[in-house]
Amino acid sequence: MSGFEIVQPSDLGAVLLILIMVLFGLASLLVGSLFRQGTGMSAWISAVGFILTGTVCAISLGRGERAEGFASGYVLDDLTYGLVLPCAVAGLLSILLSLRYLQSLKHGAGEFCGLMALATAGMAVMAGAQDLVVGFFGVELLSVPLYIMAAYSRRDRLSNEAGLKYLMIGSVSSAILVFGIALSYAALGTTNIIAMADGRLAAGAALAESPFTSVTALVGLGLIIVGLGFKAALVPFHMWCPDVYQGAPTPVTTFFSVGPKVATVGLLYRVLLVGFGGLAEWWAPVLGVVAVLTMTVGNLGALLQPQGKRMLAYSGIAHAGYMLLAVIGAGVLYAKGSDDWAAASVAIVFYGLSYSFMNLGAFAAISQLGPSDLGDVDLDRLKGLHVHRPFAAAGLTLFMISLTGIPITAGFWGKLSVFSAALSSGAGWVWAIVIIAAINSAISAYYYLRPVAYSYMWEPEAGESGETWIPTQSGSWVMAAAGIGVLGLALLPAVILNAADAIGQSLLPPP
Amino acid sequence: MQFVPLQVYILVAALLFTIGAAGFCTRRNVLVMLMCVELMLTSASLVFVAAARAHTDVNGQVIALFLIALAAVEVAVGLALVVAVFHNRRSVDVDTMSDLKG
Repeated sequence: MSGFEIVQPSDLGAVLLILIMVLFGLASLLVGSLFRQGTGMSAWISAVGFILTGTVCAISLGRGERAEGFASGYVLDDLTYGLVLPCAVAGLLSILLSLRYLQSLKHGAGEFCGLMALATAGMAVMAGAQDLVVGFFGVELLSVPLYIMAAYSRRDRLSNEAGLKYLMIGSVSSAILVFGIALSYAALGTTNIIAMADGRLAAGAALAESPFTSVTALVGLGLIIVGLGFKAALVPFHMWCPDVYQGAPTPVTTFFSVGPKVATVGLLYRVLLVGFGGLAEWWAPVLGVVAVLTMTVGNLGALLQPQGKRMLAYSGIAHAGYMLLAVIGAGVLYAKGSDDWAAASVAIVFYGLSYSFMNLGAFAAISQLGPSDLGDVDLDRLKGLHVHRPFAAAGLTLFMISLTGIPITAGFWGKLSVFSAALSSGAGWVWAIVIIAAINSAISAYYYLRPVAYSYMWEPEAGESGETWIPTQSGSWVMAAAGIGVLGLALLPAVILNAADAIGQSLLPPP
Repeated sequence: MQFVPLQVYILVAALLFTIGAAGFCTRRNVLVMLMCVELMLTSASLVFVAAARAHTDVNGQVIALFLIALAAVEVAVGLALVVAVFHNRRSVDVDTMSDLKG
């Protein structure tokens, strides 16, 4: 951020994805509040925005293009496209899934769709942020709509409580994050991560300058990791996550569970590697501890959960831990002076995409277990599902084995790419972490396969004729779409993995 | 002319931040907790402005302006939520919010 240039046309090209989401979000907000019967229309407007963004991402991914804008504060490269793609997919499917909930609302249905699109714009800001402050405002543009959406059912005690808890934790983590950014600005004199990486301002060089500068830089870095850790629900900053997931209306939880996690891990990756790469030997071991804790606590928490949304909340925590492995591997490689670290980008992108499909599918199944989208549902309502709803049971099985990571599923390829990104670093302690991750995957089989066992190995209880499953048209569509996505990624992982080189290369600074 | 060195500003800001964080952890009233968050945000603004002066770089001051707007946004949403919660529970004490557990 230097100089005061007037906005150039090329700047607008760089923020194309954000522009699309903001325009469609505002249009859907406007339509929703102008017309009483505008619910369907604003849902469609948002959906078109998601489709447009997703299509642009899917077409551009892997081309190796790179467009910087706003004095290199924002960059549109392959990693940006790759991170926004799962967010757009998740947004589109969550909008579809929320149709029943929107019909149950007396007012405010249009605004709901607009907020979802604006939150996705925030994810797009985070995905391409090349300046700490741009990243921070992306986090805020994402979080503020989420606070509102979590508490969207104003009369519902649980939804209220979830919204307020999310707001309190979210705003305190924002304050931690921005204080960290302020400290690193004080130490390094810039917030641009490209400028931080080279020359006199290099984060590594700051350590040698004076004790005060080095302490300020390190504390700043630590606070940035803590702030983003809260947002991505990494252990030990995860305690809000199960409560908020459980209390928020199901479509909102669905939306929470994918986009924000992927975008936050992506932002963490870009900031740590491109900006604080010089300090990799400091932060990589810290992230290693966090990753082990995140996977283990997430999986143990999910192990005995009788309730669907809470179980998937803990499972989401565990998945964020797996994604961190790629960041750690890249950090170790960077500390060794190797340029191969950028290959970890593709692991994050692939994992994010496969996670978005399988998690959306699982939530679509959970949402059809109850008559309303408020509160949580017991998983034992699935008992005997296969008798009356064979397709639903098959779909549920597909999503659950994919979340477990059983070969050959989308989740398996995702885990494989993340694990191999970590192993490519060759460090002994990273090997140990990957082994712990593999053990964790085995543990997770227990709670992922329990719903499958319920639906196939139990008979429906007498007197009930499958009433526990309340099919909705939108839920079935989402399950079908997510199923196609999971199967597609399982059978043709090469489509994404072929783009690997390009995604990695675009992250490296231009020669 | 004599300047107060940047280190002093950072120490004061760190103190403010700590007070805010300690208040957030110990107080049980949601409104007071929101105030503590404001204190934490303000300490960041202070660092930005002081560092902008030390580095003779105007960006830090601009960021401080943005932060003020951001604090207003968070409080606007926060107070709306507090009102909604008060309607449901007749209390803004966080200890009463324990319906979500598992």
